[in-house]
Amino acid sequence: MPMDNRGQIRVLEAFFATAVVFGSLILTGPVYVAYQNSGHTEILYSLGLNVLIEIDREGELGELIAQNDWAELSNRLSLLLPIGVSYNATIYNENLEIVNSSPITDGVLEGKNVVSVHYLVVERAHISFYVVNLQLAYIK
Amino acid sequence: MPTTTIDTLLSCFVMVSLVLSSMVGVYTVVHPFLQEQQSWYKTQVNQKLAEYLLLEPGYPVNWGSDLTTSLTDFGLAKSGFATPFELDIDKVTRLNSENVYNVSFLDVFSALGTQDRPFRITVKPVFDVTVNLTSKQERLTDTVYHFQVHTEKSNLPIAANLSCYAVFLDQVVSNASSTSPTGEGLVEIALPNEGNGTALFIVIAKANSKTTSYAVYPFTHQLSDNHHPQGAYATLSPVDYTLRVDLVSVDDRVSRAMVLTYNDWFNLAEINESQATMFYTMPHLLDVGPMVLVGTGLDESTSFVEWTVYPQIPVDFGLNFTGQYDLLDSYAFRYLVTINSAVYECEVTIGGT
Repeated sequence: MPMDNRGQIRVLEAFFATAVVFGSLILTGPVYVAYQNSGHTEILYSLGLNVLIEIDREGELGELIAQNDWAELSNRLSLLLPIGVSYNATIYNENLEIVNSSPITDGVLEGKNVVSVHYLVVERAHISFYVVNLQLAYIK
Repeated sequence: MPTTTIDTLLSCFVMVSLVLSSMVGVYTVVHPFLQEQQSWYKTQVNQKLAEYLLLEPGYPVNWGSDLTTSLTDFGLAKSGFATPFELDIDKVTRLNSENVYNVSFLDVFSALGTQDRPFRITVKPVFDVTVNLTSKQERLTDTVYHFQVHTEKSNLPIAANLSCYAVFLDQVVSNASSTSPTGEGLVEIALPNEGNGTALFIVIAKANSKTTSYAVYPFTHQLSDNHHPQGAYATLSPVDYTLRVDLVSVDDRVSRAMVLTYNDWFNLAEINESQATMFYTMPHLLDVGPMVLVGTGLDESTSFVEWTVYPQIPVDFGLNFTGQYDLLDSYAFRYLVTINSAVYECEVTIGGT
């Protein structure tokens, strides 16, 4: 390499290093966004679990599932969840087959930042086990 | 100056600029991370403290009904609860400042032992009931009152079944109704044209088997004046299924006390009496939801009526986080809790240091 071109190469190296550093900074942005949302997901999870515990008190959640009363279950979720939180619940039986014949949802669950709460329910009359998968999201 | 030297100087300048700008860039990116981590840690600590208040019974474990032992550890959970977030009816009632057995915030704050964490606890029904007297029709032997009842949650209407009572002196008239999905309902109640004074219209609403709310609406019966304010004749304080009535004047005594629930109502038996205080025993009812306690009596020829509810909800206990500096650093957590088999909404706000 001619001696006169050495400085130019160093300048190019410097600009290349600059591009690498700033590129890495840009790439870390989505990681920060994901990290930032982790707190919200924990609060939503806690909220969902609290609501399911209250509905299930004295075994009423299992009774509603055994009676296939999806409308009443939907009403209770709508009543107990705060305004601004949307939901979608799916009930699975012991063979992990979907039990609810109609959707249990308020119809506005968005695909972004959805939290899933898994809750094991025992129907006490016939000792049947169900898993409730309650998906929650903040309405944007 | 040779060209190589100029290029080297230029590249050194670029390098130095790179180092400085990357330091600024890294700080800009990392700063929110650090802030978020600190905020997350604070949120976790405060959430644990809020849950502690609702999951621990405190000491003595029955401090709600034990009126003799001083509180040494604060917690609202029912002693020996079967499922989480089941609160003791008396512990919650004693947070209400209208109850003569109320605990002071200083005592609770000292018992909790977290001197750098002021807090506020609010407990209220999951939905609201509002009542308006729309019209009345005076007939020969009675007067018919028409009430409009509205049920809503956060300004959104909900449907509910209603159990309604009108209480006037020795008379209790009941009626059942419901609100539509638009949250509106109409109730008609007739009171006999005997006597005059203040009457109560009581609504106990049920959105489902465990979600209840109530409203009490005072109105005048055969009287042109306004109804008397609550507490003008007596203060009602329930604790440990005993109703204490503190009279304002020894001349105006409560002649009858009763408890009204969603399904039924009963007269209360008087167990003790002094010059200014009366005590009534309350039955341990299996009915879910609030028990409205009413005391009636006569002030000369005008009847009066005083009321309270057991558990004494809504409750707003603790510091008021409305100062301009308080709002900057406080954390609020919402929980659903069960008291006397009914679901209520509880918000715990923890202040930072």
